[in-house]
Amino acid sequence: MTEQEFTRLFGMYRKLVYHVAYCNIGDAAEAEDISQEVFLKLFTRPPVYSEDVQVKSWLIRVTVNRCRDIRRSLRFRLTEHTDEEPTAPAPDEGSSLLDTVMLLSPKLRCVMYMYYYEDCPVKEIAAVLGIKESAVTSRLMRGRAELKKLLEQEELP
Amino acid sequence: MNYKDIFTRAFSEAAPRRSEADAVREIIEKGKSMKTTRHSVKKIFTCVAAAAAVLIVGGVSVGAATGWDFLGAFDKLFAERAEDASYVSPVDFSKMGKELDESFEGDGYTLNVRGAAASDKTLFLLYDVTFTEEFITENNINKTLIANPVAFLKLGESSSSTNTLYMSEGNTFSYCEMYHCHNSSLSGKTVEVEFRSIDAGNYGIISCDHEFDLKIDFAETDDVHTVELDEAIQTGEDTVILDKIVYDAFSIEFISNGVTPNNHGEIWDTLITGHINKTDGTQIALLSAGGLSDGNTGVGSFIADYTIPVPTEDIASITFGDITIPLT
Repeated sequence: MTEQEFTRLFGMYRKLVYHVAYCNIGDAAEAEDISQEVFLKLFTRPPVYSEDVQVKSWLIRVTVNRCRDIRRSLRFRLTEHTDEEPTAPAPDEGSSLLDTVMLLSPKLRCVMYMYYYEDCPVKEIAAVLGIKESAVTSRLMRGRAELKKLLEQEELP
Repeated sequence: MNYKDIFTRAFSEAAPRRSEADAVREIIEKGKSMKTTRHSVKKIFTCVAAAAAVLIVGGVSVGAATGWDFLGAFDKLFAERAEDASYVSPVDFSKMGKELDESFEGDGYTLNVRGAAASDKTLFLLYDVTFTEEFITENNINKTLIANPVAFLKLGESSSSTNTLYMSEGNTFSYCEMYHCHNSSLSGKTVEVEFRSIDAGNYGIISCDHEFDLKIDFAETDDVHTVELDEAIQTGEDTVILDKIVYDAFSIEFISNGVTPNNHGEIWDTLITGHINKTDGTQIALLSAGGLSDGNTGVGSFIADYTIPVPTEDIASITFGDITIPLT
């Protein structure tokens, strides 16, 4: 891959890769490191695709796999938060909409991000994540319900 | 509630801190300093091929070894997962498999079946395809990385497969087809591999059309272990019973009761997040391989590959969720 072609793809998909990593990992610095790793792989060992949309799917898949590896690593497990029931931060904590979305579980927010932000069809999300379409729709349904609940909690006085 | 608007606003706040120019420069410099290879690895869950052009039919027997780097190919296959280019599998593939030498000429390509190795539950089939320049030009070869010749296992048993492109060099693409036998065994069987093109369907990918068979005999193995259980697993609102675990050096099969079409995916999500605990205290992650469930009986079989092969004597237990099950 030429530097010019790589720079073009980097500009086009940098945010996507960062967002997918951030959705999965929930840590900005780690997400940035993962993004660099994924794009380094694209530069040194690019897939032979002719269409940008295929590169996009490849990037998402590589990012999700890398996040999965990191989540399984001992280091990440030792620093991971407990699986407590998510609650919305109090308004005086200066919470943002992103903070609230990030209270969803990684599985739910990743699927919702791809569906609502990236406009990926259910079939594509299923293929990229290696899960069934029914699992995607189920996660979307659960994600909507949980997000609604969290946003309503925030609005409470 | 407009979720699209919520996600658009939320993620407009999330952006990498490093400047784009700096980040690109860092990657390019690092990439140049690395010893680059032309290899690429990609996990594919669905294989495609299409177009009627050439039909090759044939039944063949297994040929003799040719000096092709049979063991090195497996090391290459797993080196990516081990994140170490010099990775050497602790499992002896020379005992579990055989080098093959079968070539099939298609219209614009040659398919070489290179070797196979099998444990009780999983079979690895290595083959490569070399395309001519004309074929590449005519068929926009860039797409063919996901349009490999599809091989189906004929065992008369239920099976699932995944596919990895573990190396590409010039016009030659090397694949590993991995089969997983659910509720059955590969040990001591003659495996009939049937290479067939399948309809591209919604994938819209080009490729070759072919049809030929290959028979491979595998010796019996006793390196397979079964652990009977009665473990309840909570998946969302449902509970399923994990009846049995069968494992060997390549993969692990979970057999469950109470599986419904609705909770199939949830069960799989629960099991696949697990890992193998080795006797030396290290862990080996699991890779999604395949799951089948019977809506009438509620019996489900889920098979996961280890990221890298593990001798069974080195396996101590498996952990998923809050559950750890001894496997010794």
